[in-house]
Amino acid sequence: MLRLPALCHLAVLLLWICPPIPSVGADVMVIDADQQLAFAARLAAQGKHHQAAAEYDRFLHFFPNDPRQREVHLEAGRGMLHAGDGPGAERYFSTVTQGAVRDDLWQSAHFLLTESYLLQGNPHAAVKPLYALLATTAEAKVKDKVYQRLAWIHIDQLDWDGARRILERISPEGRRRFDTQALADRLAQADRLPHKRPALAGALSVLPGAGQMYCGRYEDALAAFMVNGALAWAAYEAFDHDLNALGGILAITGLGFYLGNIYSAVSSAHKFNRAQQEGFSKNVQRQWVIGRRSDPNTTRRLSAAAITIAVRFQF
Amino acid sequence: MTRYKRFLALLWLVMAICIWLPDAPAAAQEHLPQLPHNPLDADPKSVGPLKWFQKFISPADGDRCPMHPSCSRYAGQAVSRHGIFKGWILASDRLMRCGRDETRRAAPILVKGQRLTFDPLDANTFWWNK
Repeated sequence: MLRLPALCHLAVLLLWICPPIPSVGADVMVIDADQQLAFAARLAAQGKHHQAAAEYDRFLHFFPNDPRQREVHLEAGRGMLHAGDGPGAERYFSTVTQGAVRDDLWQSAHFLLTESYLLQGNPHAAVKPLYALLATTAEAKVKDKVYQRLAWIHIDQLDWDGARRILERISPEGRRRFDTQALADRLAQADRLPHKRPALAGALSVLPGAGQMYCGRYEDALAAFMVNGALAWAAYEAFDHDLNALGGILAITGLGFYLGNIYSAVSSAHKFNRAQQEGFSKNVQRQWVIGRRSDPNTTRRLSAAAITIAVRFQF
Repeated sequence: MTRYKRFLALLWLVMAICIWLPDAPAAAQEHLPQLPHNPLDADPKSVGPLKWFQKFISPADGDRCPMHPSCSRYAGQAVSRHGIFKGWILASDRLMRCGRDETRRAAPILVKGQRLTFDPLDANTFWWNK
């Protein structure tokens, strides 16, 4: 049996060891809509775009009756766009474009929806919101902005003629503001870019390596000449010495390499032309967009792009 | 005997051409784009000779191809997507280009710490539908 003093000591010891239990629910934190938005905006300003989009999404969930729902949809979409999540951004912007209210936000949502499709590498879908906006607006200023964006999409897709046709639709005032005549003149220089004719490259490759040499690929030309020459010689020698089985194997192998040599020359010409056009497109964009800072969306995309793979696309 | 000497000389010539490939690229120090996951990069359906090469030759020879995807994988993709005939032509084209002018023209890329030349199949067939 423990005595009373021992029990007292034990009780004191237990009280000392065990920390006081906090009363549950003593501090209830209430966040209102403004605080939630301020927190999301702070994250966006810190460059934590994905987290910012999540906080904007939290706002949309907890404050469904807030009058700023449409603005927040755009901000959430912008966050997704900056974070590189095209499909996520598309969801937010589509919600606004499909809404009944047609105001500046609605117009901005169309432009941003275009950017989200471009981020997904889908220029065909990207032009649709712009054409939808053109069909529903009568404001010349908005139309000019749409035409300008469309022209840059065409330039990005290496479609100079399409870009020039679009630029011609811009109003006289818009042409002065965007300096489209200078841009159209610059695009006209694309017709004078160095060009290799794929058909000629293929025809020259009847002599293995000549087509590659025409395209400026001298090492490829030498390799094609030596491989094809060696295989042809080997096949000839084999047949000449009645080694028909060996000759047949070498001939089939050599035929593959010979056709590959022609293909290589034609492909090299196409790659040369595309490289010239992509270089021209990048130069124009650097000169007009990054240099003048007139189109922040394109500027952001260009600076963020590690690899730009341009796909030629006819509208 | 003269006939066999000529064949021997020919054999050496073909081997010399085949060996005429650049060394394995050194690990890159610079910041290059990492390859994102691409479902099309999944192992292609290998045909007989390719499977044999990948199973027996490649492990012994080492990972020497300076291109990405490697020539054998490229050939497998070409055959899988475009059939034996076109695949064979595309593979022959790639073998003749491997490690030469393409390394200075195509974009470099880091794959498992190695600086390789990015030369996917699409970069050589993009003009088919123009």
